[in-house]
Amino acid sequence: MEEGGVNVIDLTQGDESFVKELIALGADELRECIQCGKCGATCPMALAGLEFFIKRIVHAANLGLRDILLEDSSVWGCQSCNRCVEICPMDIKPYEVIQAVRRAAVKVEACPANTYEGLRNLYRFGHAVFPKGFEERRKKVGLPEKPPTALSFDEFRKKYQELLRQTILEEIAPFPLD
Amino acid sequence: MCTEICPARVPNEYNFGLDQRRAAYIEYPQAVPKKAVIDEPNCLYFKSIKKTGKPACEICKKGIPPKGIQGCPADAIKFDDKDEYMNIRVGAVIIATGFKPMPKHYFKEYSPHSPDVITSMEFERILSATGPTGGELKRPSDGTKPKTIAMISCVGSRDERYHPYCSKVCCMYMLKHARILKEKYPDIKLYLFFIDVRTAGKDFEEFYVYTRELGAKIIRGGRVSSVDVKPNGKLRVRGFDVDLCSPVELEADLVVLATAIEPPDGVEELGSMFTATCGREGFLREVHTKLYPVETQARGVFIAGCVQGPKDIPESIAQARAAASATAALVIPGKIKFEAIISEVDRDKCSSCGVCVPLCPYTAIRIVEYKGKEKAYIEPALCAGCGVCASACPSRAITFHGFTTDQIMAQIEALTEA
Ligand code: SF4
Ligand code: SF4
Repeated sequence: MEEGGVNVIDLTQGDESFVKELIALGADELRECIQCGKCGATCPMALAGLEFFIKRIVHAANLGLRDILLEDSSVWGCQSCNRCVEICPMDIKPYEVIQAVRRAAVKVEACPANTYEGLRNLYRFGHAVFPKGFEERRKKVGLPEKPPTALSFDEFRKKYQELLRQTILEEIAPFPLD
Repeated sequence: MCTEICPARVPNEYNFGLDQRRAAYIEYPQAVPKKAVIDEPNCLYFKSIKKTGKPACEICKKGIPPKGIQGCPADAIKFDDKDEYMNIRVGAVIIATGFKPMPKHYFKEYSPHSPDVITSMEFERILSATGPTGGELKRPSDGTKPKTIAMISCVGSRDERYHPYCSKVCCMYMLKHARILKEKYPDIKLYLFFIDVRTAGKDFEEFYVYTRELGAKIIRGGRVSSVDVKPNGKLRVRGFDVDLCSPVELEADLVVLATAIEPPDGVEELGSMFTATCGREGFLREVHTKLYPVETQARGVFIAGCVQGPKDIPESIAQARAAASATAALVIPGKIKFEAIISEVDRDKCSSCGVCVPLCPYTAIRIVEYKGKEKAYIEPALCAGCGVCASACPSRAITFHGFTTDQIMAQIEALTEA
């Protein structure tokens, strides 16, 4: 953005290598999007009033606007409903663009803090959503403190963590994998 | 031969002055006939003859013998040859003078003074193997290869200040240029600014999608508001991207303006010579868009190609063929059917006043000798049956067949009958 410029997007910062990266990360039809807007007309992100919704995300991705995409948290607002994929007349699979941007963001640790929390919980407990004090609440209604998941079976959890350590998580996790 | 040894150089019109040609030259490599001509005002022979009476240069004819350079081997240089005008009698005429691309100087907001702001026609020449750079992509200012190019559509088209119409072919040739560039230089950055992309018809949308696939960036809703030359010699392009929903800007090395297709110079005078008229936008007008698309209101005068309005090559060819068939249908039978509703002079009544002659919009009336006197005569093949002459004739010597006074009175009577 030019000094003093207000809300002007500088296309010169568009980076084709970012476009290629996204294509390699699964957004392989990205460039063929004709910006018809059909996805934007069905996406819950857009319907909920998010300004940076799917159609704009696909366009920004196509222009290689890395910083704009990674600084904005919109891609994390996607509900993975896949309505866009079903409806897109150019078979762009817009959701795959979202996923590709997320993958690119994870690589450079450009995710909102709560996504890391979810990731850490997933690794530690096998649950992405892990609200504090759930044990008491379960007890109150007469349930065992721990649900019958990885939480209750340490052995399985260890195995599952071992598996996760063999994934890209090993490289990118901003927390110790112990 | 002569086109290489002639020492006089002038800007090459065919390449829009981006390079030079000699005074002895062939207009362009595909010229028909492909023959060299001498451009008299710029030829040193003619210039010196005019000034001193003596020829200062005859290199094309005689060569430069001390240097072993030979003159025209066919001995075809004739300095005493003159331009000739020929009168040819024909039965029909097809006007197909083409169009003129709008020059860039009108668009002050796009820094037309910069040599790196060029029109698409100039860019077309730069991309051509026979163009001013031999097909090499170079910036006109410093000869470097541009890394980022911005193309702007609708320059002078869809613009009430210049031309309200859409020039129709620009979207497609911009995509064509983008495709040529991307195929040849995959790393080049291309930004195409459109109001909207008009790719109507068979194969065109596919071409558009393919160009996008190659990595050309399409910015819509974005007629550029300004192009400024920055101190570093680059061009700052400001536009609006409706898909990002944001004003955008770009630093480009080269800016290509898709300027409007305009009627060619002098088309109005040319048309009036044939009593064919121009429409509001200045193109020659057909009689009827659907039913008589190549006919003008002057009988025997047809139009084809961009002189009638902006169109692409397939359309121009289709129209040219239609005009050729219409011409053949008129001329080949060797006789013409006259319309029934035309005017005729009763020359015995004509007072020879001549009032009717300048009134006829189709120049169908002449004064010719009849029984030793000058009388008006209406050429039935040219009369379009408008009736202007009949109503103006003070001697009531002109009968407008189908609308005689008796017939009109009878019509009025029938209409007003109680
Ligand atoms: S991703 Fe598909 S639906 Fe969305 S704007 Fe592009 S072409 Fe249209
Ligand atoms: S999958 Fe995501 S981007 Fe696609 S419509 Fe659903 S919420 Fe929107």
